[in-house]
Amino acid sequence: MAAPATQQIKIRCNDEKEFTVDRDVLERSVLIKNMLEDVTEQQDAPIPLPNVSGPVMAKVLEYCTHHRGEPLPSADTEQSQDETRKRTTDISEWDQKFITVDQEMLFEIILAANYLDIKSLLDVGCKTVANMIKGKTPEEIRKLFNIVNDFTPEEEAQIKKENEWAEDR
Amino acid sequence: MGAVRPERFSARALPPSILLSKRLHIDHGQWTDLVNMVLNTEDSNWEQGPLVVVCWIFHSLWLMTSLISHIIVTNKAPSHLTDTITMNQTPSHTHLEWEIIDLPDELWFDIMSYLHPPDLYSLGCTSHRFVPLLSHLFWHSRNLSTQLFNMCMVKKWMKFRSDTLKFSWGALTVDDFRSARLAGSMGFVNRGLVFSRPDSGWCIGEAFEEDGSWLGPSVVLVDHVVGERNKIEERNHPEGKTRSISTETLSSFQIEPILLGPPFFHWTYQLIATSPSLTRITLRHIKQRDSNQWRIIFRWLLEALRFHNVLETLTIDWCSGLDLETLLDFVSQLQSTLERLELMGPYSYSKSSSRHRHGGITLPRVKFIQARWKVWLGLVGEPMVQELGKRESRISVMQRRFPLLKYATIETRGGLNYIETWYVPIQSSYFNQ
Repeated sequence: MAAPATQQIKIRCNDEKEFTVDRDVLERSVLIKNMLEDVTEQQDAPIPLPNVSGPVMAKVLEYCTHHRGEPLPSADTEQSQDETRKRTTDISEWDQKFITVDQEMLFEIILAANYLDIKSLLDVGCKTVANMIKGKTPEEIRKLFNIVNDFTPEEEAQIKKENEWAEDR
Repeated sequence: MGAVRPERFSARALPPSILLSKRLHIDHGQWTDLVNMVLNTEDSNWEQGPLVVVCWIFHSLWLMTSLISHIIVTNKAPSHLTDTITMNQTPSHTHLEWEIIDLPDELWFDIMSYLHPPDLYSLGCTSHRFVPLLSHLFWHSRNLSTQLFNMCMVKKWMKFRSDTLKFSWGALTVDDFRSARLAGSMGFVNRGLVFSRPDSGWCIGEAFEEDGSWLGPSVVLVDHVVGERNKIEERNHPEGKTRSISTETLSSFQIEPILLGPPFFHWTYQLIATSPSLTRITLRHIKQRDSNQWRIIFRWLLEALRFHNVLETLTIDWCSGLDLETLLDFVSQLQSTLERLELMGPYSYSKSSSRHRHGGITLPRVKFIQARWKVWLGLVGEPMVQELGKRESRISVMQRRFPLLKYATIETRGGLNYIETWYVPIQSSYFNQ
């Protein structure tokens, strides 16, 4: 017996790029899940996602497709998992490979995950950025993120002087 | 597969509006130059697929003569193209036209929650941009043991920040004050502290006279936003005094806004932890994103109080992001000493799990009164009906947590003209306690 057909949902990104995706994949996004639940009748019109571009959405969908079927964190479990989640920056092998993108894409994915409310993807993105920062000196972080040093030389010298402890690591 | 260059990769097919960051400034001619440069590279291993230009680096001098670009191609870029890119990379001192750190604060909070103090320190030294964010370091305390927290988050960071506080209380500098406290030589009694946001105009209370002497056994609020810059309100002053204080002295209360952003900073922790007779704390105008952040604050506060919890009054006024359950969890741990809990002013809360949709919703106004406790929950707003539907369970929670509660008054206010009050009798067993 053939498996029941999965409902296909259309989404439209801010660059007019459209995707047709299985509903259960899209429902990894709490935002979209809620949208779909609010719609009583099936609609052909694509769901507009004005804050996500096509390329970024493609990556997000890649993630959602891979993780489809995994239980979504409920409101109850989210809190208890929060402690554990915050203690580790470990990222699964697949997620690591998935998130190996350039910085612009990484931050766009984080923004998209936040907007779409995909907590697990947001975690992966934030952990990745945190891992990029870990163990780096201020100068290295500046270089990494192209941050302009807006401390005055005096301020910087003072901070360095006061915080030699932090550099002994 | 892989040897075919996508036809759509052209200036016309890939308009800058799609590929370029909004932060970039590039005209169509420059875009065309870049595309031509890429197309003219000999490419024997071009993989079909979306080509996404994600990062452009411009150097002002180079822009005058030629287009300098740094292209990162999703999928596998041809090696010689990569070489070309490497050769064309701008000098290291060039700054991007866009800022990669342009993330909302809440996302930086998420990122920082995975970092440890030295890394946070490095981040803080990177740019002023991060200092206000790092002021919320307590968010990170969950990652640390108490000892580590004390050592790194309080002691070290306090040292880092204390010299930049640049404020004094009366004749006492912060360092003097803290040192004296640490030495246990001041022995103030019945002290109250107010922690609140600088941009709201509230300074840390516990003011002193111009001569440095302490004003009195009460919480002192200084409001310089509502045109009462010279007024100091002393609550619970034994003589009911309201004193005036000079603007100059008042200015000495000022803390650099960038530093007071955190209601609970390392040094406030220290103040609490080293104030054995602290009996009153007021949290005012503290806006947190959600209850998770409040849980950190409360955990932090409990940690500071664990040495000598003699807190009698806790006032929470005009605070947001705090839901009732989180508050009750905290208060239940203070029950042994806390006699009075005041929740004042309308405050909103948001659900952490649905922050994107709800942001900061507000609740109906609720007022609980009981023999030993006075609890005001200032709750006003739209989801009133929903919350009222849950009022029985809310009250049940209150009864369980506050066994001395004799009766509760729930007052809802929907707009200016609608006030309704429920008197909820408590089971007789509670009267017998």
